[in-house]
Amino acid sequence: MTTPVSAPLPPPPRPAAEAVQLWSVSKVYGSAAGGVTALDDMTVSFPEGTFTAVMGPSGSGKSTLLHCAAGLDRPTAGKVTIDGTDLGPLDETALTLLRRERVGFVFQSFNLVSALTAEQNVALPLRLAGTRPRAAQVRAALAEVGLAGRAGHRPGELSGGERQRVAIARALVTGPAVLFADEPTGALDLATSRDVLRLLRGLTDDRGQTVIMVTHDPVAAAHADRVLLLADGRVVDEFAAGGDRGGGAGPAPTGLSPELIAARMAALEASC
Amino acid sequence: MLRTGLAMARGRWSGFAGAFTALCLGVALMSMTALVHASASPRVPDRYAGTGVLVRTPVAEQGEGFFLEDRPWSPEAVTALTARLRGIPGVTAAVADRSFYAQAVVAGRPVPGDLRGHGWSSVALAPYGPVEGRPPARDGEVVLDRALGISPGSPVTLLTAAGPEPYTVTGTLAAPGFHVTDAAAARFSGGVRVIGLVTGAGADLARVEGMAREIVGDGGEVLAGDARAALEPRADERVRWIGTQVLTGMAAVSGFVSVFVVASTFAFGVVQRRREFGLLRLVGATPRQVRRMVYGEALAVGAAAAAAGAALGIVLAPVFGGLLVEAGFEPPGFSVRIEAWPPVAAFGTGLGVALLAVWSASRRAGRVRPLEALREAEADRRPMTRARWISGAAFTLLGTGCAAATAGAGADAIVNYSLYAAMALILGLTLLAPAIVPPVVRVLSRPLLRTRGATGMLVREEMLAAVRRTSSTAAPVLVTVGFAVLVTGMTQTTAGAFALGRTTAVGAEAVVVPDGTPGLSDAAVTAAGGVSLLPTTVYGEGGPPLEAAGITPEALARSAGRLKVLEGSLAAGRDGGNGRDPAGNADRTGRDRESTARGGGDSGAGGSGDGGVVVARWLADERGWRAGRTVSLAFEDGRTETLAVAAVVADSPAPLLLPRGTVRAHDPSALTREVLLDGPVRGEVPGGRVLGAEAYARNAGDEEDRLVWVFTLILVGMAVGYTGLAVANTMVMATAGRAADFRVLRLSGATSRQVIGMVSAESAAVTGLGTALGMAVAFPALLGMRSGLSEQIGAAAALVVPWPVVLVVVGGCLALAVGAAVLPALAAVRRAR
Repeated sequence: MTTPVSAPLPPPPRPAAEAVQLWSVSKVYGSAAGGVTALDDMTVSFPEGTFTAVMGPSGSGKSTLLHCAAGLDRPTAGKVTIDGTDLGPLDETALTLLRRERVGFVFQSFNLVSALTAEQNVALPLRLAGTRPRAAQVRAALAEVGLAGRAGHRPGELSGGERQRVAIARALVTGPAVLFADEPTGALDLATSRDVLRLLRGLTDDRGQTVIMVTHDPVAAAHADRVLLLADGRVVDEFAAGGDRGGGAGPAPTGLSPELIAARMAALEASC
Repeated sequence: MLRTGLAMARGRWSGFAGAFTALCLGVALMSMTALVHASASPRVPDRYAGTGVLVRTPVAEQGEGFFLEDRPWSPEAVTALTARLRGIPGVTAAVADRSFYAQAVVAGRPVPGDLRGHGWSSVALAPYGPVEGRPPARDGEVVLDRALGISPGSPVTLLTAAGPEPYTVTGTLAAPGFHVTDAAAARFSGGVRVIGLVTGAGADLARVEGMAREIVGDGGEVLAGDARAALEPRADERVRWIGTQVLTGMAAVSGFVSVFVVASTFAFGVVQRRREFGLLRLVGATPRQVRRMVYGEALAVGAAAAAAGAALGIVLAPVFGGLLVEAGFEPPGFSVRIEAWPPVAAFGTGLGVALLAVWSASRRAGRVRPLEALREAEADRRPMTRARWISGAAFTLLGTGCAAATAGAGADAIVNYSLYAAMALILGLTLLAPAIVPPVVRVLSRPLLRTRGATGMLVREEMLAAVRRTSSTAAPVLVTVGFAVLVTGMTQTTAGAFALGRTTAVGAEAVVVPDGTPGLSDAAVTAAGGVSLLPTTVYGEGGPPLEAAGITPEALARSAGRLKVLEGSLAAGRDGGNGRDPAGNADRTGRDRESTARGGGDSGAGGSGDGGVVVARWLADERGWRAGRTVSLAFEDGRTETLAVAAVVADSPAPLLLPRGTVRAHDPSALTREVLLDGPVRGEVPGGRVLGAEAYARNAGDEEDRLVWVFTLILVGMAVGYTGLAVANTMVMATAGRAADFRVLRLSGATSRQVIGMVSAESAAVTGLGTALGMAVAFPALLGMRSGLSEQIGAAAALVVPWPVVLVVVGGCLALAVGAAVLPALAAVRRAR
């Protein structure tokens, strides 16, 4: 909540801690008999300060995983923890409060309130939490995503990339434990996509921000530390970048290349 | 948070326009009616305004809605009281004030206006200007209102309860009413209820008042200053009471319908904004915060609308007051005082209504899940919940029950029952609409599939796909048409049935009703022949005044089939007439008016014999007036008679039936309401006109029925107005949200004419659907009511539906729905070009 977004230094890394964990999580849509299993007994964890990309063909359960992990949807079975808190026993309001304080979201379709200015959109989670947002805090969040000069503009007056940056600033303004991104570059052109991905990468590198991103784009996934490949509601492949990524932005020199990811994806789709 | 809510509401004001208008009008109506209501208090009658101290007879408590005159003093008491009151120092005269029915006939037509005659000495009680000409000095002389335009010295025909008589105008006053000599007034009128104390210059009114109190004791009530307002005529009091009923009804309906319109507007708005609420939930708004935001919007819209409405009410109240006087809901001379509390109260009520109306919408908004922000617009979900099914069915049943209960209700309860029925049906059907609409659309629109053009198919599929839109448009039409048919049909059918019941009971073929007069004189009754009742008021052994009616033995015999004798016999009433024949009395009245008028007044002292009394069951039970015992009744002239109870009956046109001669002897000013005839009229009936039994049943046009009908039209008009608002609002909101659809249609090759045609056809189809459903609800209820009524009156009551009113209602709905859909569609198509 009060994490200074403008703080230049990352918090000390705690490599052992898990930001988000799923134990034996299943999600079945519809009735038991004719239901569709979107997640099939999945156990996976996302360590603090890491950037994970979740990939898979359409219907592999990647969006469901994100929704369950973020507390937007309740799993049919299994247990989910965010920042050590078990989501199971929480009621709707408690879950909302947890999301408000510990979770940030960025989506493909920006999801800004069109009637509010960029600044008001960013301040919305703080207002909802009942704290009067300090102008400096909101402006710092906007400055961090490179939109210091656009605070007074409404979404209709911003470009797609700018809107996505506003969404990221809004997601970060409460200092969340984890940032979920669902196809954040799906609606953007190549150059703008690269900027947004660099911004996300930078968040992990500079501040130790945990990021979980769902994508189908190998180029986007190449910005992550780790890639999970999903099919039929299970994790079928997982690979990580080798070595330390250092402080640099952009795809890791030693690790994941888009080509490698695309090849693994192709192999997976061929085997299905 | 509130500021965020306001910021988010910005740019969506058009969505709130319907709620704003509905609330604004509702609050304006409430503020207006409350102002009128607050102003509707009795005033000191002009006739007594020049007198500081007046004495009136003791007042007996009466039931709600009863405005009978209080028991007058006996003639002996009047003589004794006036003599003693005149002795008070400073009092120059104690005037026994008398009133009776009198009406001028000019060029063969009775002139409307103040239809009361008084003794000349009553003029001293009023601050009227000087008389032009001279006071009346003998019988046949009158001083009348200068406004009639008859100059002193001219002849004039004066109509009294006896019949028309030639008079000479001796003078004119700048005041309403007719003033004859005190002796003539004493003959024409019954007893005295008011004695005015005329004081000399410089008299000490407080002292006069105190001494009068000592003299009068329990025998009356001394009134001075503002308390004199209690002397307002009972008729004015009654008119005001009816006015209050109308105002209360209007305020209740407008409040209720405002809730309905505001609720549906907000509910529709929430459906349209699911994504937005989902997004708020996603970024951390709790369900409670979303609910509060919706409440905040309602509060903002409500406050603005209520403030505008309260102000509008202040502006409109005086105009409305004038209309009420014209329609007969307020006594003449009524004017509206502007006070602070009515608009303030209306403002508060308006805010309350807005918050009440948004309750369900806010709960729905609070239940929106965060994931809905991520989904594209989805098809309509199942809008019917179990609670909705149950409450919808319950209200519909309740409404149908109320409609059925109307059949068994008394004449005065019918409006109330039909109002309850309409309200319950409105609620029930609105709740059930999403369940009713789709199957009906599917069945009714099947023929559209066979047409070759695209419009038919599109209209059908659009209506089916958007169940919620279709039902939220059809529901108000359904409600309005149902309400209009039900309420107007109920009022007319019931009035007609009761009138039919009266004629059927005596097998009458024609009815003489007053024409330009408040009732029929004895001359008219005699000329018409037939069966009639002579209404009067009697006072029996304590308790409130009682309505009674004089009836001839012949009429009593013919009504026997209807009366259902429980004890005694009706024949006893005739035989107990002590040789005096009331029928002969009525005849004699015609032959020799003067002797009746005089003889009636004089014979009161000697008693008109001990003709038997027929008592209604409820009264017999209440007072223990069983057949065979005697009761002591005081009459309009203040005299008391002891009469034998001849019979107790189950169903009587009046609580007490007395020999007509007895009534006439004690109440010289009583007028007959109508005469039932079993054959053609012998000659002309002065002051009356003849209606066939059917025509009479169709427009049983007494004053009360007229007021009820005006009241009904007002309610229907208001309901239609509000429905129009609801329909137009839904249509504007829905059509504006379909701009994308229209663009797709245009791109697929539809001309703008085809798009507009489709939108018009769809609106017309939805209106037709609502109309059909409304009729389907109203007619069974009406038919049930008719069979109940037929049983009650023992004849086949006709189902009267005022089709012109219904047509206007349906046409209005159609025009509004099509207009409200086509205008935004036109704009959308132009933009897409």
